[in-house]
Amino acid sequence: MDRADVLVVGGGVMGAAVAARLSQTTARVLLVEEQDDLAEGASKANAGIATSFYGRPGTLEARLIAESNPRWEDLCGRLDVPYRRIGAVMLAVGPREAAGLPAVYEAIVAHGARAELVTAEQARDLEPLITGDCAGGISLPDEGIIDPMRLTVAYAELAARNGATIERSRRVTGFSVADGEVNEAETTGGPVRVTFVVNAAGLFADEVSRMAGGESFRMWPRQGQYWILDRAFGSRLRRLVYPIPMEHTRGAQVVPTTNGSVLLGPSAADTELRLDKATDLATLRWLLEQTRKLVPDVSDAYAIKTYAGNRPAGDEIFRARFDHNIRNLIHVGSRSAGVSVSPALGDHVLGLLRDAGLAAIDRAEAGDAIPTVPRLLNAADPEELPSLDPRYRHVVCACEQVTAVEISAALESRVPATSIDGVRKRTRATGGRCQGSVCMVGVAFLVSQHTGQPPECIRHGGFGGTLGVGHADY
Amino acid sequence: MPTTEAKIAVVGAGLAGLTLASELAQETSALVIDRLPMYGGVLGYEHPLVRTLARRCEAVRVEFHLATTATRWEGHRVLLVGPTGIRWTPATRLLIATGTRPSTQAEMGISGERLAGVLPAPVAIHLAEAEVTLGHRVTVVGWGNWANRTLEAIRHHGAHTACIPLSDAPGVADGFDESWPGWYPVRVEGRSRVERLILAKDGAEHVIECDAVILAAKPRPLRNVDGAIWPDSPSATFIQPVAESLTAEEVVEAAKKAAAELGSRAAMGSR
Ligand SMILES: Cc1cc2nc3c(=O)[nH]c(=O)nc-3n(C[C@H](O)[C@H](O)[C@H](O)COP(=O)(O)OP(=O)(O)OC[C@H]3O[C@@H](n4cnc5c(N)ncnc54)[C@H](O)[C@@H]3O)c2cc1C
Ligand SMILES: Cc1cc2nc3c(=O)[nH]c(=O)nc-3n(C[C@H](O)[C@H](O)[C@H](O)COP(=O)(O)OP(=O)(O)OC[C@H]3O[C@@H](n4cnc5c(N)ncnc54)[C@H](O)[C@@H]3O)c2cc1C
Repeated sequence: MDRADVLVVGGGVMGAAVAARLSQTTARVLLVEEQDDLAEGASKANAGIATSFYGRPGTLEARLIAESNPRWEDLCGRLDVPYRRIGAVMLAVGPREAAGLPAVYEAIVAHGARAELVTAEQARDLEPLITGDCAGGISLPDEGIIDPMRLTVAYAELAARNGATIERSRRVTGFSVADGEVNEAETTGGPVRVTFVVNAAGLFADEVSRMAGGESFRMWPRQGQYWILDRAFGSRLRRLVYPIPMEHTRGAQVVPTTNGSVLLGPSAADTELRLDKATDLATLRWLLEQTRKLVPDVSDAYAIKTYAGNRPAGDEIFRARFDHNIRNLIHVGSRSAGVSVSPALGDHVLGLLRDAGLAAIDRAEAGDAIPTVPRLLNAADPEELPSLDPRYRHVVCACEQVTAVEISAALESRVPATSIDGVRKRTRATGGRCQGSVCMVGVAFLVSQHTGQPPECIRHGGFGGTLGVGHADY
Repeated sequence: MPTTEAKIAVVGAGLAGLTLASELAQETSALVIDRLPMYGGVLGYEHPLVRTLARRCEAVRVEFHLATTATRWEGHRVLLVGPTGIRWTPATRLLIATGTRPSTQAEMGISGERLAGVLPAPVAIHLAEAEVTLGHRVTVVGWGNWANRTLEAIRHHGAHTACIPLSDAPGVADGFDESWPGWYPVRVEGRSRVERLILAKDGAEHVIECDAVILAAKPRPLRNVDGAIWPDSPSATFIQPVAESLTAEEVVEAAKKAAAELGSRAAMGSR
C-alpha cells in the first residue's frame, strides 16, 4: 500500500505550493489530482495578479499575502516562472468616486501594502491609456502579474524533483477514520496510508472534508468571465488598471499578462453549477462596458478569446488551518487570492504540521529551483539560442513564438504535459491569436511522439476529451 | 541567410507571396520566407499556377528561405527562424502574404467552454487527411474554401454532415447531408466533447446534436509576425485577400495590383 506522511488532495496552485515546500523536508509527500493535469480548476482560470493586499487586514490571508509579496522575484527566478512587478493604478471615475478615494486608500494601507493617493495627471503618467474622466486614483506599486499555470506546474515540478510523488488522474474517493483521525485514504489508484491530509480540493473541499468526517462546510462556484486581448494592444499598456472596489468584489479590471496579452475581467456571479465554465454574451458585453470606463481604447476588435473560471467560494473565504473535528486534516483554500498567498502558504502549513508533531526536518540537499528553459518569445538575444539547442530553429507556434525546445521541455519534465492543453499551459503554444489553427497539428504530433498515443486519442478540451473519435481504416 | 542587404522581405510563399516576389524582384532584390518546407501555401507545390510562379521567381533570382518562420518585425529588420539559424535579417519593407485562417470560436461569438471536437478547419483538414475520424456527426460552420476542403477530407469517413453556411445563396452547402441557411451558431454545449451546437434565427433556437464542430467561416488575415499585426505597422504592407470563397486567380490579381502600387511607390523613392 502507498504510504504518505502528508497526502495533498488537489493539484491546484495551493496544493502544489504546499507539496513544493514539504518536499524540501524529510516528510514523504504524495499529491493526488483527479484531473489529468495540474491547474485544471480555479488555478488556470484566474487573472494571474500577485496582489499586495486582499481580504480584511489582520486575517491570516492578509498576513500570508504580505509575507508572499516581497518574495516574488526571487521565487519566480528559481522556478522559471514569468513575473513582473508592474504596479497598478486604481481609478476614481467622476467626482463621486473621487470623494471615496481616501477611505479606500486607508483600507489598503491598513494591510501594510504600499499605496499612494495620486492626481488624475499622476495617474495618467503611470498609465497613459486611462480615461479622461479620471478624477484621481491610488498608485499600488507592489501589484504584480504572474503566469498562474506556469507557477502551479513549477511548484509541482520542484516537489517531484525533491522526491515527492505527484499523481494525476487519481481521485480521492473516501477515507477510513478512527478516533478522530484519518488513517487511510481511498483513491482510484488504490489506498494510501496517511499520517496527515491536506485538503486542497478547491471547489470540492467540502466533499473531501465530508468524506473524511471533517467539518461540514459549503462551497459554491463564483463564476468569473474574461476577455483576452491581443499582444498588439498589450504592448501599449503598462500597468494594471483597477476600478474602485465594491464591497464584495474588486470589479472588472484591465490586466496585462506576462505573455503580453491583456485580460478584461472578471465578472462575479454565484452559481450552483460547479463544472460549468461557459461564457455568455451579456456578461462579456458588460465587461467591455465596465473596462472601457477605465481604459477607453479597450475593444473587442483585439479579442483573441473569452473564458470563464469558478472561484472556490465558501462560507469562509480563506482557509489554511486544521479541521475542528479531525486531528490530522488540514484545509487550505482561497476564493480569490490563492495565487497571491502561495509563496508563504507552504511555510505556514509546514508550521502547522510541525506543531502537530510531524517530524519534517529541512533537508540541506533539497532543491529550491528547477532548470530554466529560455524562451524564444522573450529572448533578448534570440540569435544565440541555437547554440544552446539546435531545435530552437524550429518554430511550432508562430503566434506565440514557441519552438520545439520549449515544447519538448514541457513533454519531458518530471510532471510532463500529456495533452494539447498541457502543452499550452506550459508553453502557450496553440494559445495565441489563431488559437492553434496553424500549429495544433504540429503540437499533436509532438505529444503523440512523446506519449505513444495515436493522434485521435490525444487529449484536448476538458475532462478527458480527445482530438478525434477514431481512426478511419478503409 | 542573406549575405547582401535585401530590399523587401515577403512572408508567405503561397500564391500571393510568389506573385509579389516575381513581380517586384524585377526591380529590387527580394526574399521569400515560408514556414513550410515547400512553396505553394494552401494550394500545394504541385498546383500548375504555383509552379509557373515559382519558375518566374527563380528567373528573377528571388531568394527563398523555406522551413523558416518570420517571427518579429522592427521596421527595418525581421527575425527569421529556420534551418540555418536564428537571424535578424535587414529589409526595407516587409510584405505580409501569410494567407488567411477561419475565425476562432470567440471571434464568431460562439459562447461555451473550450470543448474537445471543436476545431479550426485547417486542423480538422490535416487530421482528417491523416485518417483521424473527427466525429460521427460533423457540423461545419461556413460555406467557402475551408468548408469545402473539410467536406472533401471527411467524405469517406462515413459521418453525417451538417453545414451552417451563414449564407442563403443557392448552391451553397451542396454535398452536406443537411444545411441550415440563415441560422447563426451561438453556443456549444457538452461535458468533455461537444455534444450540441445551438443555432439562433430571429429569436428562435435550434439544437444540432453533433460530436464535432469545424470552424470554417469568416476568414481573417493570418497575422503572426509581432510588429506587423496592425495595418499601421511601420514599413509593413499586408497582401492578404480575404473572402468567404476565393479563387486562385483572384488572389493572383490582388497580389499583382499590390505589387504595381508598391513598385510605383518605390520608383518615386518613397517608403
Ligand atoms: C475568475 C477568477 C479570478 C481570480 N483572480 C485571482 C488573482 O488575480 N489573483 C489571485 O491570487 N487569485 C485569483 N483567483 C483565485 C485563485 O484562482 C484561487 O484562489 C486558487 O486558484 C485556488 O487554488 P486551489 O489550489 O485551492 O484550487 P484549484 O485550483 O481549484 O485546485 C483544486 C484541485 O483539486 C482537485 N480535486 C478536487 N477534488 C479532488 C479529489 N477528490 N481528489 C483529487 N483531486 C481533487 C481539483 O481537480 C482541482 O484541480 C481568481 C479566481 C477566479 C476564478
Ligand atoms: C483551404 C483553402 C482551399 C482553397 N482551395 C482552392 C482551390 O482548390 N482552387 C482555387 O482556385 N482556390 C482555392 N483557394 C483560394 C485561393 O487559391 C487561396 O486563398 C490562395 O491560394 C491563398 O494564397 P495566399 O498566398 O494568400 O495564402 P496561403 O496559400 O495560405 O499562403 C500563406 C503562406 O504563408 C506561410 N506563413 C504563414 N505565417 C508565416 C510566418 N510567420 N513565417 C513564414 N511563413 C508563414 C504559410 O506557411 C503559407 O504557406 C483555397 C483557399 C483556402 C483557404
